[in-house]
Amino acid sequence: MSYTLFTFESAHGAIAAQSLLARLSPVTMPVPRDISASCGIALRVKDEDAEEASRRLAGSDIGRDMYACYRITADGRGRAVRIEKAE
Amino acid sequence: MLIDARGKACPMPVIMAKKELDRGERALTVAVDNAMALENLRRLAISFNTTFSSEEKDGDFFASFGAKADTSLCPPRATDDIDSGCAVFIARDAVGSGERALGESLMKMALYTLAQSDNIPGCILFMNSGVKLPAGEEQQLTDSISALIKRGTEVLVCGTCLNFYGLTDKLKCGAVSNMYDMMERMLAAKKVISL
Repeated sequence: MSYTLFTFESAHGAIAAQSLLARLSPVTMPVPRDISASCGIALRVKDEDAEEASRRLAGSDIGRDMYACYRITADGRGRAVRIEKAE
Repeated sequence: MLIDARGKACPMPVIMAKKELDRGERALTVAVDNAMALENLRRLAISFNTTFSSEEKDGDFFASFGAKADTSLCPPRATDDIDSGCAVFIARDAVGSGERALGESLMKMALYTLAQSDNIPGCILFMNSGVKLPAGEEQQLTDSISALIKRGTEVLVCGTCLNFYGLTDKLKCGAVSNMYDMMERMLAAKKVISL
């Protein structure tokens, strides 16, 4: 099981991104303990939606230094077991 | 013994039946006029470990309680990761007070984290605007609640509250319940976590 995760430097950014990515039905989850981000809210999208999500964020008011993207390999319940930072 | 609880509002039919079961009555039939009351009586039978059957006649339901059930036919399921002494009480549709969008995100994250935990609560009780979570359109929330049910958490949802918010037909997961059962779970729990 794998998914793509977006983390944010501010809670306002994370909440704005929820609306921005609403069409992709992102799952709102806590940032995994192994990732450091200023805000604890992360948005999880399907790997196949990652490109569109990145595009939408890039075209938004949220600065590129205000969010990060990770590819997550997870166990059966969705808990991260491997984390790779994506560009 | 026949109890006529038709026309009685929830949770009266359950209270009337429980009174007789507490007295030791084990050949009891209760007449009710709605499916929700019937479901509550079915759950009462489970908690009293008695057999249960029902029949519908002209729009009314007749619920019959019988002898003590043979539990050997129904082995208890594995409960390794269920903390049966823990109840979670959710009486609002967002965590805490403050900015609504933040509270909604925190609630999604709380239920997501709970569904992934090694130890899950014995029961989750939804009341007041909390019932909008299992009866709402937000799939992430219903997915988390369903995952907990699948793992063995009992999820009870206040029927009065569903009715108040016009959500009775919208419940996606969990069992419709009443103050009587929900308070019983809280009193029986070693700890109640309120979100």
